[in-house]
Amino acid sequence: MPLAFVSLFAVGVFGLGAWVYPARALDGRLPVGGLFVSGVLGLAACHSLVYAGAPTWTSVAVAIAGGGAGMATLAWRARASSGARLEAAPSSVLRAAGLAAVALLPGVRLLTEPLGDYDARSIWFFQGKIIFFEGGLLSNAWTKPELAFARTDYPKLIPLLAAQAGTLAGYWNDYWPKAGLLVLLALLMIGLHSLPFRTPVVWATAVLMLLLEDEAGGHLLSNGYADGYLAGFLLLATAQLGMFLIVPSRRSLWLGLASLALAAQLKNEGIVAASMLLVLFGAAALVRGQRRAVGVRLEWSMVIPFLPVFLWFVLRARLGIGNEMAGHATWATVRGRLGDPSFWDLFARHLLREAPLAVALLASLALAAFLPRDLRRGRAAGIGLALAGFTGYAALLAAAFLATPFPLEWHLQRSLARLSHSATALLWAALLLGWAGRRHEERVL
Amino acid sequence: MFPSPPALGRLPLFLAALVVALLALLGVAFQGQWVRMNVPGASSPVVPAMVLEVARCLEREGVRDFRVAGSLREDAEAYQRLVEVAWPVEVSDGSPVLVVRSQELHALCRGARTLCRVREVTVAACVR
Repeated sequence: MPLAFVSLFAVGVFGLGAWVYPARALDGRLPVGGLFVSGVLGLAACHSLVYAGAPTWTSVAVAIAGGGAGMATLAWRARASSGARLEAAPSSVLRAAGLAAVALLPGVRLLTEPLGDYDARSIWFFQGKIIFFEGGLLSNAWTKPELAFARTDYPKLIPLLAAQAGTLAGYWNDYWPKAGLLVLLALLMIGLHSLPFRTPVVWATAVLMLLLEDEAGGHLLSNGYADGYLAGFLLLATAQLGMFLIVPSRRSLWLGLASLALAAQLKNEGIVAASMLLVLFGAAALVRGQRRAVGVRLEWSMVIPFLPVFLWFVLRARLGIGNEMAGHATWATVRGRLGDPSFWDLFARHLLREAPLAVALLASLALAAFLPRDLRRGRAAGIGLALAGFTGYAALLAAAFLATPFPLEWHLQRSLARLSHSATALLWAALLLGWAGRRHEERVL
Repeated sequence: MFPSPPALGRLPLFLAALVVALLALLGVAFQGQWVRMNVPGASSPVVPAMVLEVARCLEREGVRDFRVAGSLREDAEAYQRLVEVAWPVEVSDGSPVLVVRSQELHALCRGARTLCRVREVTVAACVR
């Protein structure tokens, strides 16, 4: 029975966003991309309610009640806007079937494996448990020094989904709340379906997501960590925004911004990475003058996916929630490590030990051989966005470890593997834009 | 007025049958897990038995908050598991209810009234 409620909630979330998603953004194409944006908007709408002080059950009720009607609206708008082209092409069904097959493993594990891994228990789902028992986000628990280990300053997308799943079931245990992550898994797969690349490339990207592991071999899409989803949504955002810089379309702009908003709601690294990518993207778009060239206008509703991030910052300030790690970091530590060759040696050795990153680095070197031709075809801005994003994220990682108040070797061993997956994802996005999109951008977009 | 259905042949039917078959297989394979998922408060095997028993004791005794001290407080994993599992019984450094390793009880708790003893750990009400 709880599974039925969770499914109903998931459908509701996807339908809820349809109220605000503009039909013309579908560009007369199969509304899979529209479904992704609608899901992101739906999550933003029901989570914003909780950030604004509403009880968790209200957000669940709103999602379910408003979602069904929203789904109908989305279908009606899609029919009205795309007419005879609404039907699913066999290639689209085949792509969806492959992605569903890839999603089956993490989906089953989300539903059947209990919470076990450290951060999932102590950070994300413990916060979810607090929200579940407090009935919402307004609680003095977030400022208790005894709970500093739970990183209470982190954004609350995963804890809220867990609390909503618990609310739907009517109880808390170490199994059900993980079902809340099915919404993120569905969004990731729908987002991958919307990538403007060939189906085998999209499948390969989904398999790459499946292979992302933490330092203990836990699978990051199913063990309750945020890092796998952060890598996935950063990849989607960079690929779509990069594609916008190559062949501008309202669809890729919406999909890119919606993915970026999800990344920013997952964890603090996501907020920094999303801000960095937004600045890079804005600068590249202005330089290329694409806003005027193709008539793609910025719409106010594009801000809605980011609403939960803003509301979380407001709530943090209101409740006085600080960042524990930042509070302990000192300039002396940073200066000491900055000039210490053993730090860089240790950092590089740990970083290069990560197989997916090493593969992506090698592939990027191969890609460099094609760059001169790509530059002539005006593809540099797209590839450059992904590569600049990768460089910035790598710098962010280095800065985090330069400043860490924890023992360096322990901290590197405990978190660099999973944190580096977002860097891998950004490199992968560069590869997709440079190689996989080469022959198909004109046909697909 | 509406577009005609797409010509997908029997592909949707085949995919639907595949999904039903897979779900049936999964249902059989994970029957035990499904049962546990529907039990309120069911915990993961990674939670130490001591932690579970202390949490049950706190709940049984109607305790609203507790504190952890001594070597148990220094053991980050045991402390975090205890705090996570016991919630909504809150951890609070000002609480008179102490969770401590039994051999440290009298050094850390004045006028101790033992609420329960779980393995090597004692839950006691102290005079503050």
